[in-house]
Amino acid sequence: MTDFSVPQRMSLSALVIYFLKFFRLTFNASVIYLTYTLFQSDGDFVKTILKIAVTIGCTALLALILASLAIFKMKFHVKDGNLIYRHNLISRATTTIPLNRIHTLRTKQELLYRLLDLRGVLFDTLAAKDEEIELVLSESDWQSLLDRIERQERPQSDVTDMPPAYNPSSSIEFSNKNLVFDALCQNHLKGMVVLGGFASVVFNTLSDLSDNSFELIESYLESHFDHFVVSWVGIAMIMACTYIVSLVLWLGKVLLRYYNLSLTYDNKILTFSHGLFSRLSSRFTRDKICTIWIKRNYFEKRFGLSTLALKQALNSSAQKEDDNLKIYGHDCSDFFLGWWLGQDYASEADIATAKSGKGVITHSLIPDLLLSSVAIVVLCHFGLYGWTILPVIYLSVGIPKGILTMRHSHITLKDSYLIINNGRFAEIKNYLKYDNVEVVRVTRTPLSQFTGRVSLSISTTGSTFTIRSLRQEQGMDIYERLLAKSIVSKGTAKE
Amino acid sequence: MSNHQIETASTDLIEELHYEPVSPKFKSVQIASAVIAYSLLAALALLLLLIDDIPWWCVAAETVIVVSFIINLTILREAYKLKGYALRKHDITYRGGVIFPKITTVPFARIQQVSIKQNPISRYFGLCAIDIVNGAQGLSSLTIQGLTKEKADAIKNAITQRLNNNHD
Repeated sequence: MTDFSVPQRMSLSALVIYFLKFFRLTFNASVIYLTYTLFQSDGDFVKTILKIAVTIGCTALLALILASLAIFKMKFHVKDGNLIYRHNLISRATTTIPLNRIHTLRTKQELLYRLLDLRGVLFDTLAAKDEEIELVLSESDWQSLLDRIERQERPQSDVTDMPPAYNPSSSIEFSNKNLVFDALCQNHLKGMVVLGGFASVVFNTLSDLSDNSFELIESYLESHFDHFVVSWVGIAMIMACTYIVSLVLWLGKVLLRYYNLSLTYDNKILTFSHGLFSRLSSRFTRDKICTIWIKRNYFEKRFGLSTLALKQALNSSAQKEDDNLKIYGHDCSDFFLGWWLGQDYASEADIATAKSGKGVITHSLIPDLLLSSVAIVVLCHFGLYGWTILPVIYLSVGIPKGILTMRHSHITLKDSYLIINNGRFAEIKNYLKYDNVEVVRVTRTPLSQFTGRVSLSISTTGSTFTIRSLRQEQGMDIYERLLAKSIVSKGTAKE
Repeated sequence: MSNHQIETASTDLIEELHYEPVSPKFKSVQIASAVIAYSLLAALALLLLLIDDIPWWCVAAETVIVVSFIINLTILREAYKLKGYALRKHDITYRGGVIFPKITTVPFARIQQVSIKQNPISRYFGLCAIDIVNGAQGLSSLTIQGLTKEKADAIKNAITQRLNNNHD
């Protein structure tokens, strides 16, 4: 029985698995050269085959060297409640993972593994999207490692649950009418931009086909639609048509995905079922949700609607980005916030609050300014001076956009959660619990010494938020409070 | 669920912490890395001579590289002065950056793993880097470079002990 309390290497049988992994990598890298050799052959079949054989031989040799190095340099052991492994081919790295941070311990036995009586052992943590490490072990080694891990692992305290507030398996049906209504309230201009981009690609392809075919289409358009295309009314009609098409496509997408949205819930789990043709289901555990995102634009506010998303940690192995389901329709934020934060969440007092300053306007204008400047230079280069009005209009729209961004941008700390407000034209509220705050960062700019403003970044397992242009003293106060609250919250959860 | 009010006045504030500087040898590591990187760039710029008979482009590229190298060396000196780390009871803070100075704090309770790394240059100077990884989507890794092996081990031990003990 292998003793995993001291550094150990993987067995030699693992070399076969590692060799095949590296061979796949090196072979993929040499495919271009192989293809080039095949097409550049001067008719001498034997010579070409020889060249290919030599290339594959070199690839295999390189893979063997890399696999041997990887096996030789990798050492791992379990000590003091940590999995410790030494790795990396050229540079030297030793990684320590506390066993209580391992999210999932998976094993795999593909055909080759079974033939060699091996098992791939994979450790997942929240730190990376892929597995941290794959150990290829024999069955006896795996049993002995598992035994060592189980003996070293400290039992995790149960997370304190809130008192039961909901009947088991209650359910809610969401109205399709509200779904369509809220879908109509969204910003469809993005869809128009996509369609416009698609149309320009088609136009470019058509113009590349041949001069004759292009001239044919041009003359056909001129003869039939000349009066229509050149006029401003024509342009407006084309834009209206594009808008209607993008709207129909958008509605189709929303209905296909969210038709007959229903929710079954108890104290710990929300299960959504939705979809027009194929029914999809999404399951959210309360302690895995890291942000509740609520958006209300002008129309949504006016008609009592909202768009709501429950965001989960993206790095855990079972999580896909698409799982961030969005709920369009009647404003049901109170229900979800009450379920997640506790029924009395709304009555909690503000501990600290900070608003962004005018620096946000400048920050939001920078990309628009760059884009408009490039557009103006290009238009002037082609002598289209009249058209420079378009980038100027675009830039002038950026100013109210910046002002709205500044108005929306602020942060509020409550007793048990925090709210980060952002958004440009629409108001977005992000609700976070303190125990979801992973990292806090404060950044100064070269202008900070004159303006006294700083940026505060808060990163959770699901997303990162940056609140710009906060007063330095307010920013630092919130920074300290966030860290202190985060520690208290974690401690409370473990009590 | 207990939830006591936090008085920030009673804690050691981030801005008032004494930041421990990284090893003075780290300046040599950075200079060596910059020399290697810029030498490679300068060698690549010489390839312009192959595609163009007139060496103006090559001269211009080499000038840009040399000027950037000098600026980089100046910034490296300033950057070294600002780099520092501090450990409090519940978190670790790192300060760095010249044009955009940043202070980043990671609570110990959020740390997922700790790695100690050495590349061939830092190994030559006997230095290590400690990589502190958490589960955040952005800012998921805090790397403190220019530490001696003893200091890196001490930080790693402090973090892992804290993680395994959960809380005081």
